[in-house]
Amino acid sequence: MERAAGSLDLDHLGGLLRRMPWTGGAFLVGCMAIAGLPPLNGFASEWLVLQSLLHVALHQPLGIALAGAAALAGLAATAALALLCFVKVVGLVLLGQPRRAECAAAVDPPPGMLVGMTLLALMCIALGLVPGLVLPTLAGLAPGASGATLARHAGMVVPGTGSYLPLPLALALAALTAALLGVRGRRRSAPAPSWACGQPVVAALSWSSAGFTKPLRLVLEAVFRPRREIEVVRGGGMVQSVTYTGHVPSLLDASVYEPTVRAGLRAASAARRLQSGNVRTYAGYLLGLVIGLLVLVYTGVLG
Amino acid sequence: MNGVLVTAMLALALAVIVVRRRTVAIVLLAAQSLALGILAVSLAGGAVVAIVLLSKAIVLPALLYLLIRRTREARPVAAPAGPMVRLAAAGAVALCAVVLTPPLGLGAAHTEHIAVALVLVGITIVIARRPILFQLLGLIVAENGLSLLAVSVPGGLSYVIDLGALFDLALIVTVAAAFAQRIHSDLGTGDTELLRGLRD
Amino acid sequence: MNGPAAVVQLAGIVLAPLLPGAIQTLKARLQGRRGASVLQPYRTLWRLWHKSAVDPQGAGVIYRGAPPLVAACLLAGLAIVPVAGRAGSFGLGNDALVLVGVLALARFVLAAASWETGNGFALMASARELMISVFGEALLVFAVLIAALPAHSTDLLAMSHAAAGGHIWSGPTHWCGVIAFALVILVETGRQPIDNPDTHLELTMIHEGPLLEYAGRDLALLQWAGAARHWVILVLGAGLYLPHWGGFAATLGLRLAGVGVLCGALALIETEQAKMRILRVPALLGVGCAIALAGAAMWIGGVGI
Repeated sequence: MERAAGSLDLDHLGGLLRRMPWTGGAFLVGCMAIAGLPPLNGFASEWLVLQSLLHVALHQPLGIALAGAAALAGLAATAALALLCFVKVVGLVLLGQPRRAECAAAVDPPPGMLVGMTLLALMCIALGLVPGLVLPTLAGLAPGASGATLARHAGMVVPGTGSYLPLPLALALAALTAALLGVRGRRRSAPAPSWACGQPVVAALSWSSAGFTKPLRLVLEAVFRPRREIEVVRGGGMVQSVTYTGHVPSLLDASVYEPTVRAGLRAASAARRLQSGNVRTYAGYLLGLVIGLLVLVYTGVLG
Repeated sequence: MNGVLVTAMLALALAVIVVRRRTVAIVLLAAQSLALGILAVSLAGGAVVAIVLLSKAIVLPALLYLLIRRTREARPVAAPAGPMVRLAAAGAVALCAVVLTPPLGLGAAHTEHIAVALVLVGITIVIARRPILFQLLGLIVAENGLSLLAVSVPGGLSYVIDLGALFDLALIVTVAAAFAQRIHSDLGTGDTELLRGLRD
Repeated sequence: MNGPAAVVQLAGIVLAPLLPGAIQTLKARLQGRRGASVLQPYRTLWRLWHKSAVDPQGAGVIYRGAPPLVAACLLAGLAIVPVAGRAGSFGLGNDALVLVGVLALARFVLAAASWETGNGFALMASARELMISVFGEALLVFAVLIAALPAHSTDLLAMSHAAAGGHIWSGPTHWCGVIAFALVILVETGRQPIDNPDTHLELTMIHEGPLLEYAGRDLALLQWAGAARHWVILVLGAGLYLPHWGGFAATLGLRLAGVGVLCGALALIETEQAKMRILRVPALLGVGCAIALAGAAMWIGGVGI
């Protein structure tokens, strides 16, 4: 896509599914798999993790079980967040009107580049449809796995759950969709402009990624503390330009990683004073250490 | 007789700390290795052990003597402290080792204590003397202590271990000798006090 | 043995539009109006079926394929949810988390369709719906956890059986589950105070927004899918949280009556409550999550089993 459209900036792509069907299709399959949608492989893994967290909450003592329950809800919320994120990505990149001239002229890359993508997309689909074939092997690798192995089915028939059978599910969805398409019959349709309260739909009205995530950002403002700057340039009594910069600082970086790194570097520079450069000093440290250990052993502090 | 030999080894190591001339130190080390060889032969026997220890007593000191001949010091290298202070410090370290060593279960208690003491005295030699040769001698003394421990194991250790240790030591001594010559030709002296580059 | 259960599940296809119709009629009566008849949704579907569809600019594969796919997802959901403690063996399993996944697939497809046409109202509504679903999914999973605690499994059949009888109501956990699931019902059916299903103002739409661009048979399929969502979640609620005894027929009768009761409760809540500020909805759902977590903690800690 970068090769075809010249940019990977989400707000400057669009409409690539129609112009690059193979690339767009593979991208769509990948996004749906990441978002954890059945019947692809992302949902199979997510289902397993959710089940394992739920069974932690079912079978473990109180403290661990509550942690498992909290993690379960967190994972479900994360899955919904991933869905939001990847709907946005799919919508901005593949769907809608192209936002730049290069996007309007984009074509599929040569077959050499398509083969890898298509292969991976097919693997996503294949692993999603028959995850049960891989499951017993993975279960045997888990630490603490007892000798009992899971039976090898195409779907995931795990005791303690209602079993996830992706192949029948996919077939049912496909069959039902086809049946409904048939029932819907020939689609008599009239062209109509998109509804924008009667305004003509222009490119400037198309949505950006910041707009789509605004409700989420507003709700989570207290947690994320995003920083925004809006600069309005006026000239001659009218607004000439509006510049918006937004930035969400990473809480974990600022509050956990940076202080730890700083403290580590401070400790290292303090320890540097131990280095005199002379090998005899280091031999002296060694001797002191050995005698100290001998004293500890003698006094019985160490084994 | 074995006890005497073992104590003699420790005494020789202490003497290495005190002496001023490098040649004398090498002779003392050769004597220590010889004592170890006699002890080994009397305890475990075997031709391989004898060969290993004889080479330690003769070949290595010869190599070191060649090194001294090539790196003549223009001025005597001053020691960090006087001979009595050095002896007292080494004696304290040896005493610590003898008193504090727990029973290792490898041989007679006396031999074990002396072996650990030898190792520690070897490290003390590295600290207490400045010329490069003495650092090497300290290393060989420490290695002698470990060999003493190996020899005193009832039943003896496999000769592969002995050969391996000898090979190791020979390699270290050769490399160190080459470096000593290089340092001497660069700096004009073998005083390690001038070598302060081992830092960040 | 599973035949009658399968028949009832398939009957849901036909009976689903009855539920929104019943809620609308009850709401009207509570508000002092006569209101439309209970069969009005059927008439709407019939009318829509005979109208032509639209092709907004930018409509492509996803726009045209979304309504059948959404309806297919809801049909799969119908097959997964057991009725009256039994389920026909459609081969899709009966797992609660698979149901959650299938509903998420429907949500994704509809949101993608709204991106395709680029309709601003549809996108705004999709953004809000997905934001609410972030917290709604956490709450839904908590409700599943509470229902799974007595059953030690996420199998909906096992959960139904574990919720049978009256002993489970003696502890506080099941009551906490009721509160949590009530909020889940409000989120999934899109009823007040979380969303207003009667609104005509595009700026206030949440689950109706993506439907703005559809007409004719597409819109009929999507409206049916909305009704099927009502059926799925209300039947699930009746199965897990309304007490029942007896054999299959008696349980079935009780369940259907229970669904009717739930519709009445929904109408009451809708009449009483005003729509909440949308940015306050996650807080409400968070309270539900906290109550559910407390209920689960009490069960695991051994209180009142």
